[in-house]
Amino acid sequence: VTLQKYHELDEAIEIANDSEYGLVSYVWANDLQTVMTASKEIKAGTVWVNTPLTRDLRAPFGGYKQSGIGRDGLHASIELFTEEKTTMVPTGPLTLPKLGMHNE
Amino acid sequence: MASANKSINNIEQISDSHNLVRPEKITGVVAGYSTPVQPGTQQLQIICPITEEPLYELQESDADEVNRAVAAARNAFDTTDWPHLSHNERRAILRNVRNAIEAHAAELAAIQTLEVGIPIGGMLGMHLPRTVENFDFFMEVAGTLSGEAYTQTRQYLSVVTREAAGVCVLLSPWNAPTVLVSMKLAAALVTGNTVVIKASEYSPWSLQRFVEIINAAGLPPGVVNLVNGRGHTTGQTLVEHPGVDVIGFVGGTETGKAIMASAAKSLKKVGMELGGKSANIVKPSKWATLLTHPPRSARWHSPGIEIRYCRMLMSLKLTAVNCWPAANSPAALTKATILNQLRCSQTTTAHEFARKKYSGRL
Repeated sequence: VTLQKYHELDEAIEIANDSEYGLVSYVWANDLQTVMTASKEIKAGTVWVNTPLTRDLRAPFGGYKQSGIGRDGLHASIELFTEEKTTMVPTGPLTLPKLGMHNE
Repeated sequence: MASANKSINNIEQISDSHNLVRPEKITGVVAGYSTPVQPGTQQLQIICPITEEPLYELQESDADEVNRAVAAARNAFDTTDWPHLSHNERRAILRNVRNAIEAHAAELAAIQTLEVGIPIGGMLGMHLPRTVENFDFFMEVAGTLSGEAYTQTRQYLSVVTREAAGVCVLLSPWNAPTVLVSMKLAAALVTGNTVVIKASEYSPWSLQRFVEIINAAGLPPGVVNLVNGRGHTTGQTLVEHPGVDVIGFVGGTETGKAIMASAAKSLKKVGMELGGKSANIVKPSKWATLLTHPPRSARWHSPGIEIRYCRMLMSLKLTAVNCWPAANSPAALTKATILNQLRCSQTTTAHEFARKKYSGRL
């Protein structure tokens, strides 16, 4: 663990973002403005506010920048492990266009 | 479980206190069968991080075993019912898998403590419950999946459905084998894929037992296979294999880049969770005090690879901060241990770098 000091919030955010990684981050503060500003500015896949490592399996988990590609979670995991297929079917009788002619 | 004050100094004591039968050799699992010991293949000596004694030998999977594992997964996907089972049919099997993991939670926890060095409390309190929960969660998700239908194109109906992607390779990190592999494994299985897991060469026993347990619970042969070995040998052969459709990886950024480059050759899908360097921004609040005296569970959680609490940014408005107390070590099983000499020196190097770059106090 390293301890570093900062003066104002923007300096803290600058230090936090001064990394090629962006997996998770934490904000420990009481005021909403600090929390929301940090959440908006920090480049990381998760911002835990006054919260130790806690996973909601529904929510996406993964990294910004060189901390990864893709996410785990409800939609993201299903996306990774499936292929989507579109099947298009006519809903009634069709007149097929002649080859080389524009479809009216 | 060992009591907190009992001093444990060797593997036999730890194994005995958890009724573990320590294998002499760890090998892969292909199509439901453990690979026999094969003279002439690479054998790796694995060391226990707690006692630094030899733990067991690992038989590295050569190209032939990797090919057989992918072929078994390919066969299970292409020629068996597995990807086409109804949700209820597949859930019936996966429920047994989930229950078997829960029934073996204490054993899997103790094995991971021995080879990873994470305290047993963290294993029993977090890693194993989450491993079970991952299956619960994705079984539930699978039951609610639906497609889409579009009717905006005149005279046509477009129906969008999802199919299993195919053979998925899951590359495990050493630091949390069952919890991190099961997150991806459960998602892959509920959607009808087949899988080849590659365990980390530092913690293969956990996944070998895990795969044995879930196969015995009724997974059809070939649906989950296991290979072992180092990244530049077994791992590389596996991710380059043309029979693989998806690669899920949790590990280091440089390895991730190499995997992505290999995957590009046949446009495999990739999902990767890589390195982190998590910043904590701490404002003056009650949290500041709590953080510098964190509860036991927050400390030394995952030794040598703590991506979570590694950078603490403290407001100057905070008065004197008492740093974390030196670890007083009641017993080997409650104190985390750094994996090996390499990780120790990496950790030291990182500390030196931090000192120089930010004049950070460690």
